[in-house]
Amino acid sequence: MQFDNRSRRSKILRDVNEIKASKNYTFASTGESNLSMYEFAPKEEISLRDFEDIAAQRLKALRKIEELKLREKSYDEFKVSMGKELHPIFKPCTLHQSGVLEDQRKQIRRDDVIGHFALRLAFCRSPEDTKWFVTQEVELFKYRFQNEPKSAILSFFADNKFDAETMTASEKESRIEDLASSYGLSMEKVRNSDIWMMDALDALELVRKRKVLVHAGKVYLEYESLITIIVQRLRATMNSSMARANQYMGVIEEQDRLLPRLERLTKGGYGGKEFNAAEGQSISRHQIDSASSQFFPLCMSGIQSHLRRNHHLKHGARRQYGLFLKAIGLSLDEAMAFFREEFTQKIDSDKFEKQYAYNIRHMYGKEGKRQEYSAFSCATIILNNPPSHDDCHGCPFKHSTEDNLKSILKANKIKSEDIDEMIALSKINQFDKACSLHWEVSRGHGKGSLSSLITHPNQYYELTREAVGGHQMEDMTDDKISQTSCE
Amino acid sequence: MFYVICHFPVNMTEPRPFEMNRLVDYLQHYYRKGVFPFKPYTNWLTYSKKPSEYFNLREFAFIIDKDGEEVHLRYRSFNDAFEFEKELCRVSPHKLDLGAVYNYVPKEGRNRVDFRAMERELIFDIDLNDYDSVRNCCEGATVCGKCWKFIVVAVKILDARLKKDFGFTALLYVFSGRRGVHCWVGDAKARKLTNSARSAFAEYLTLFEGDKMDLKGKGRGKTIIHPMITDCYNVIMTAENGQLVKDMVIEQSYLEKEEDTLKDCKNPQLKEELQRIFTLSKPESRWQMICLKCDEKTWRSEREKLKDQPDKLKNLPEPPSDEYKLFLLQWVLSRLYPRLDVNVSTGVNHLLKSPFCIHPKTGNVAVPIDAQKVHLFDVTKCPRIDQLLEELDKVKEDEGETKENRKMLAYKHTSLAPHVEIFEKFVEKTIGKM
Repeated sequence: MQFDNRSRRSKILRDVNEIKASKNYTFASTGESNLSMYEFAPKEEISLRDFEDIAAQRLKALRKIEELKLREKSYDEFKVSMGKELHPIFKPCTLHQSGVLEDQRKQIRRDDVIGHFALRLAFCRSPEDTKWFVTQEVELFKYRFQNEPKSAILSFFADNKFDAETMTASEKESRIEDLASSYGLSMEKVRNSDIWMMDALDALELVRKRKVLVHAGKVYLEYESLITIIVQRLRATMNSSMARANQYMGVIEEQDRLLPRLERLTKGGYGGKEFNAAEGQSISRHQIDSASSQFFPLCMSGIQSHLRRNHHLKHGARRQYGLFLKAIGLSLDEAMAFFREEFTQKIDSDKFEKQYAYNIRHMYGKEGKRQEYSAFSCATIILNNPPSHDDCHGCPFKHSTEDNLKSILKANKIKSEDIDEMIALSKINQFDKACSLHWEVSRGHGKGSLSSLITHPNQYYELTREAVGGHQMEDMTDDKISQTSCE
Repeated sequence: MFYVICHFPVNMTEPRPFEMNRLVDYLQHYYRKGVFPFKPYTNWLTYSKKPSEYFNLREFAFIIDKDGEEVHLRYRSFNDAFEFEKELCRVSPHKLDLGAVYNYVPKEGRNRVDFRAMERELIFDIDLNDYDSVRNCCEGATVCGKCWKFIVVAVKILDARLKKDFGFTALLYVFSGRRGVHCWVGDAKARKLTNSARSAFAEYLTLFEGDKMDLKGKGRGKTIIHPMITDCYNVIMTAENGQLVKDMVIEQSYLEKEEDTLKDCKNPQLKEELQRIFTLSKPESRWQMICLKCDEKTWRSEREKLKDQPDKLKNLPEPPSDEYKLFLLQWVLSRLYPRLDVNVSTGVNHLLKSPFCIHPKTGNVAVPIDAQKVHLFDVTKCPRIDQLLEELDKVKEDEGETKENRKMLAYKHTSLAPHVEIFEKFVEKTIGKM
């Protein structure tokens, strides 16, 4: 094991030296195309300051893309908003426009590549980060690709060894019927658009699904499928290189210099802010029931009622719920008492101490690695550790069956038309929108009242608290609540 | 040109059953007397490269019979054609399987961590077993001339797709010895395909999931019928001028029961028409009528026929609508489109029964067949190991030629000869492609 590490370390150091020794080169393409497949990392020296600035700018752009993608209903509207809102803050998007000076162009292309690779480093360290980053980058690439003129696309293909060319009008005419019926387009449409030819081996997924015309070992692609192919390769390159980078992270000696900077970048990256043990707010265990019905998102109030009903939580739910409670200000002592009171209704307190107390202290950073754990974001809840049938954690919009979700929402006194809308949203994987809608209608604020989307259960909680002014909680003393909960 | 083309007396009597207990004996003679066509066979697997570059890296698997149990001896490999022949004659295995070409000599390198299958022919396996839901003449392992027509259709379609869509040219179809056909694609490009390319190609050609047909392709919302599917339909409908499909419809009694056809018909107008068609008593006339209503080509040729007879022309039905055409296309393809065993095709390292191997239960030789003449192949008259040996003995008695030549090309004096010729043509194509 030790040997492995050593050999890996020495290989990486060798690589580093090699990079240092190699001649600086301008990595951005000099050709007509403004796009890069980002297959080769830049090898030039750059000041930390620039590194950070460029990365921060790109990150801002990616967040904007995420926002617009969620906000706009159709791709056309998305494109319009991108033009209005992204172009001013992100120069690489304006490269295709005329009037960019050659020097400027070089500079912008360089920043484009540096920014991309800087963020790869920053986002390679958890699968969720990587996923978020790849999604936004791909969206950005697609958008920029569509702005490129055909001549630039051809030079981009040549640069990146995509062996693709367009069909001539007469070639098209010779198999016009097949082309039209492969894509469900009219022959007129086929005549008027570019059809690209590529080796079938470069478009395997489209071949597999019979989404393209296949003839003599070649595939014939209309624009949409062409983009699919390129994006697939981009995604594959990014995923594998980021997985590799993640392995290397532990070995490069950058603890003091680069790593904190990268950390800063991802902090507050996609999930908005991190929710740790809350500052300035606290909650006692006796307030949880009333808080649950007033302020909690569906995922948490569900766990709360499961706990009251069954006096037990499985590991997934303990973790999801425990960290959430910690982040809304439940202290360790209160948490311990809270879970003990419930659990010991079914098991004796010895067993509780043995099996669960450690677990709870661990969440508060008092055991094991002694790490401060943050509450799970929606992304974590949705992407990781899906609940099995007897679990009660997860995201109801993602993990519940339609019938279950319906009855939960009904019990929540949501109007049936709103229920239908939420179910429709969850069906198209827009769980955040569904949850935001839930916030809007269940708290009586009306649709569209929420300015941002819900991406974190604790964000949901805080927004609710803000909306009610926070005063109701203070009005209740512990005694009153414990009385009511005892009844 | 030193051999003589022989004519065999046609055996008019019913073939006697194969004596399985004499198999070991037969096999030894089959290999040692050179009925197995060593020369073209090893030529094939060498692909005109140095033996060390290709032939030596190929995995062979011998399946031998040990007290009634099959023992698989995998990762056999041979330096050259000579060593292969010697070993095959010595062991005379029950069955011979072909594997992949590896990055190391299989018998030595298979324990290395980076031992990996690099190349192999692209293969397809069609087995009549998988047709049981649409095959009404026989069941399971039994095969008759009527069943064989499913194979005829499958070979025609596979041949069209591999050539037209993927651009392959070196194709070999081999009767598996019992109830199926294997297809070997020998083009260099096909041999180099990765596992994921193989599975993509195989899935492209697959229309069935279980017994359910899905024409739309996975994950597709709109009903877009891919042009390759339409072409497959045309291949079936025009084969032997429409006689093949007609025969199958009658022989498999697809038009006997009205509800078999009506249950898939969603269009009320068409349903009514079909009910009327089923009042005709003969299945032949039912089929003719359905084609006239739903198949564009039939309708056109009928109109052409009647163009000088205006009084009859006016009785011609409307030209088939898209919905009618789609109905017949689905009706035909769901019954006759080949059922491919995708798993065989997807792995580079998958073992497959070699051509000219003997089927131990039937004694049949796995013979190459001509894709253009599959319909002429009679399963019951497939060259059988015992009969081939008899043929050879007979020639010997008749001519008493020198022994040396005989061993080299013994197969040329038996009814295996035409099949070896088909095989040689395939080998030429693969080598010509290098």
